[in-house]
Amino acid sequence: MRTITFSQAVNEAIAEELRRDPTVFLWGEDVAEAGTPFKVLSGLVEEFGPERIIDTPISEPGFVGMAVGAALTGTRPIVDLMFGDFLFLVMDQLCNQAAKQSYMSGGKLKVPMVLRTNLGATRRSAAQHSQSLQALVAHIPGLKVALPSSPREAKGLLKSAVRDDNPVVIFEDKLMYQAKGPVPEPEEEELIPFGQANRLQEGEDLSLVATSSMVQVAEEAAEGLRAEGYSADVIDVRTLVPLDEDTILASVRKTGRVIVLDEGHQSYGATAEIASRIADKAFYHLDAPVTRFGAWDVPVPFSPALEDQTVPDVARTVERALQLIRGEVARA
Amino acid sequence: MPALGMAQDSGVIAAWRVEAGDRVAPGDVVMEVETDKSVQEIEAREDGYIARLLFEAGAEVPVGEVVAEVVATAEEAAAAAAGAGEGTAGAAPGGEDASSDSGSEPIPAPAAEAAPATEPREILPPEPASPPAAPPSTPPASFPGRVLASPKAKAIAAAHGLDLAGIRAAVGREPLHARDVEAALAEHSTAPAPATGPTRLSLRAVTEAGGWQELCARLGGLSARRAALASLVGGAWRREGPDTTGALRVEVVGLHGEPRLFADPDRSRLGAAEPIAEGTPDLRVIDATGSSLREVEGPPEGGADLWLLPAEGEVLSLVLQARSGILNTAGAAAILDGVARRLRNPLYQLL
Amino acid sequence: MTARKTTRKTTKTARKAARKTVDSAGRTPEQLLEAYRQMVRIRAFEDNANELYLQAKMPGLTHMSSGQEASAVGVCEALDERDKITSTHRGHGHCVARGATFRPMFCELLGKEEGYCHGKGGSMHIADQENGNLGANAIVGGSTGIATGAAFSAKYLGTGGVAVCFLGDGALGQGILYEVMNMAALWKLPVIYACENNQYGEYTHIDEMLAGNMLERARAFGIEAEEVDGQDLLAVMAAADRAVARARAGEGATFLALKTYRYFGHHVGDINRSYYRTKEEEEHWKAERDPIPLFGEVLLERGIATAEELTAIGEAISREAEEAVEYALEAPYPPAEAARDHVYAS
Repeated sequence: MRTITFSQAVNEAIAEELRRDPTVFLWGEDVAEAGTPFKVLSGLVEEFGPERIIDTPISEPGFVGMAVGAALTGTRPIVDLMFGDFLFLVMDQLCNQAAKQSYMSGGKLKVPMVLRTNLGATRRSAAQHSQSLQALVAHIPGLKVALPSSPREAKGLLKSAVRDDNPVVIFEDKLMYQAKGPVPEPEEEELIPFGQANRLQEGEDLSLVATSSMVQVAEEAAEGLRAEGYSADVIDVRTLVPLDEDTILASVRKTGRVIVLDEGHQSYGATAEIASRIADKAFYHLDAPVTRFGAWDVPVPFSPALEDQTVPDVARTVERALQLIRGEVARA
Repeated sequence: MPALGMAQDSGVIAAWRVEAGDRVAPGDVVMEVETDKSVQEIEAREDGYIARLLFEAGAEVPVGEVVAEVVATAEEAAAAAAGAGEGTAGAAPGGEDASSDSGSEPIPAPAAEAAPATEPREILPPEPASPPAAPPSTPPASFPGRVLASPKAKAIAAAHGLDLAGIRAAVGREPLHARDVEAALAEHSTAPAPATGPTRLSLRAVTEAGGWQELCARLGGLSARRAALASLVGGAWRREGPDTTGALRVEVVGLHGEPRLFADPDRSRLGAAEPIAEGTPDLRVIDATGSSLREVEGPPEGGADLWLLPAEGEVLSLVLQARSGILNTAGAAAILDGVARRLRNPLYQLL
Repeated sequence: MTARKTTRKTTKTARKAARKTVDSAGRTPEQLLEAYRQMVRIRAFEDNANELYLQAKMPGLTHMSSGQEASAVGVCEALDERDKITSTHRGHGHCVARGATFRPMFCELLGKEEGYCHGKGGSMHIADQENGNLGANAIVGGSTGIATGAAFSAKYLGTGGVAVCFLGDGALGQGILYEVMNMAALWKLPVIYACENNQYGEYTHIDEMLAGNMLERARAFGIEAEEVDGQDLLAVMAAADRAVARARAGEGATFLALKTYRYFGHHVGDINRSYYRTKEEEEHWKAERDPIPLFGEVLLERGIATAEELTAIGEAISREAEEAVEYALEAPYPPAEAARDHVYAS
């Protein structure tokens, strides 16, 4: 396997799907010659032309709504939403329109569209360009939600998303665009199915269940635990909807201890849902309280002195993991 | 329960010298406690009235456990005795204005109205008379009557019939985790069988009763019903239980009447298995669904006993008890789950 | 009852207005008669739906389009099977005009399994994709993006199709409309914004909600815009024909301001309307400007149908509607477990 960046992996996935299926097109703000502010899409307009890589005006509700209409009528749009924070602008189109077409029509209509956007703080982008809003859309039945954690995941999940007949929101971690990792050769097409979590490490003492950027935190925390003589299961959730409950529960039933990590706000977030299912369905296997690590319940601050501490990190994860394993968690 | 020795986990209450309602003063003997060494008289350390005795004479009580409650007044003691379910602390009149909700006339306060709301006080162990240097290592219970333990620790303890309070006393802290219970279990299995009887396992499950009740209605007679029960339970045992040499024997018995023994009942049509004359059952099934029993405890009579308890609402209770060495926890759980599933949907196995 | 209206005396002005209308794109007498039937069908559907609601046989709420038949039928008569429409909460007329039939429509209104959406959409979400109806939409302006996107895909896929976005005057207050009109104009998309201006957004007159001229809003994007008498079927048809021709020729979007009136309230429960419009105004529109008798007069004058034939059409459609209502009332509800189906396309 070669090593490429997350950004290249996304670019390849889109290019391959555009080549494969002429009904696929992509639009968004500054996606063509500019290739997005993150340069993820550079080179695509040169190959596929402005008919398929389409620069839109700065009108998020408009072009998301139009993508719904286009998806209803025989095409498979990929929409680039420049920042995850802009989801708030498109809520009606995404949650009232895209998510409900199949259901409201009794299964007669479908909306095969992909909304690519991003998440992640610590880029010093402050409160309106740093949010991780996956829980917001995962809450709405009818939408699927994918969270790639590596270049390989980014490519495999995005290709699956394009081929899915439902609206899929895929969150890329904007800090990860330059991260490198192994990705299969283009001729070895890899589609990563939705609803199958990925166990990255196997251990006995604790389960670390994580999404997107937090998978890396979990992996490093598992390293830290190894140094202390403990081992952890590390599970990449991959898709919040559909959620692979079985893999998570099997791991927790084995270890009896779990930390759930996700970069969205802690309250009412993805970690809460996963923790709740664990408490509900693996209760008698739990040997320690279920711990959740999400972002602090504050708007993301600008100053580096303030921002970094608001997202889960390796040190705190290890510290808490050791407390759980050693039975040192203060009782309520 | 006071700690009376260095390595003492528990004491047996040999006798009570007081009963609920009695007045006690510091120095009054309230009970006799038997340890492995001797019988000792335990004195009260508080002035007041005995509200409740929480254990009967003969009970073995972990060190640190509350054995009786003392309150300030005779009225409170009477109230505690009257409303057993209401607890004691909350029953004391005092801070609450009784008329505030109902708007009725104020209820005349009892003579002792001036007394403030009184918390029940624990009878604490006397200061150790002999070696004063060894304070009890036992923490006071955080919540009276409850041992804080992880769900997993509780599950393991329940499966092996282990007493969490005893484990808490041994390890000297809360909450307990799985490893604490596992350590106690290891100790148990290497130690000679304690006086309380052989280590045994007891699991309880509940399942929807509808499917089984429907089948019973369809089968009609008691014989067919016993045979069907043997088939369903036998099916679960064969699939999940220990390997059997020769035929699988299941005995089905009601609370009254003769037991019926079946060989390989799971290989007959539901309700059609024929009883055999004699043999040792691998498993006894006690069908108590027509009785007023709600819970069963105590050692199994055979190697493994499965109790069917009456349906409460839509739910049927099952209790599986087995002697040590017959089944392990996981195996017993699998059997119990298999039985529960079959009772829920008796035709499932035919599909 | 709709048929009786056709025989009612219309005023001289109304007759003159009908005569003045240019003939439309060489439609045959049979096509004109069918357009008339479609309007009568809509009226019959709405009358029965209103009854069902008032008799408490219909769950939820519904919005009547009686009075607006000519805009629905006039626009849809200009379309063919390649074309798509999106509709609004006041959408029964568009659905019928596009070819939907009574039984599954009433079944849908009553939440029955045989409804167009298996009872999952109801009055405000009827979709009939076989007839190119992408669905009614309960968010005001909610389908403007969908229609414009459908126009995009028609162009992208080269189907030659056109998308019609029915919207009410209330939707002129929604920002997304201007975002998608901007893109429609930039990319010359084959879309028609058919704005049914019934003059009231819910309980408020348009003058209190709309600044400036609605046509100028579209023209600011370079979108062709025209105002049409929405009660005059032939005028609507002619305008729609022009808009469809422009769209198919790659000349881009059209905005049609179809002035019309709704006879009922905002929704069926909106009975007492005196605080926002007068009885006299309602009576004027019903007596002088009803699109069905107005077009009936045209058919009579051109000798396309006799008064008796029009009456017979009305009676036949009334029977058909009543039969469908009976059918729907008796039809089974979906099984409870169906509530979990179709959340995702499989």
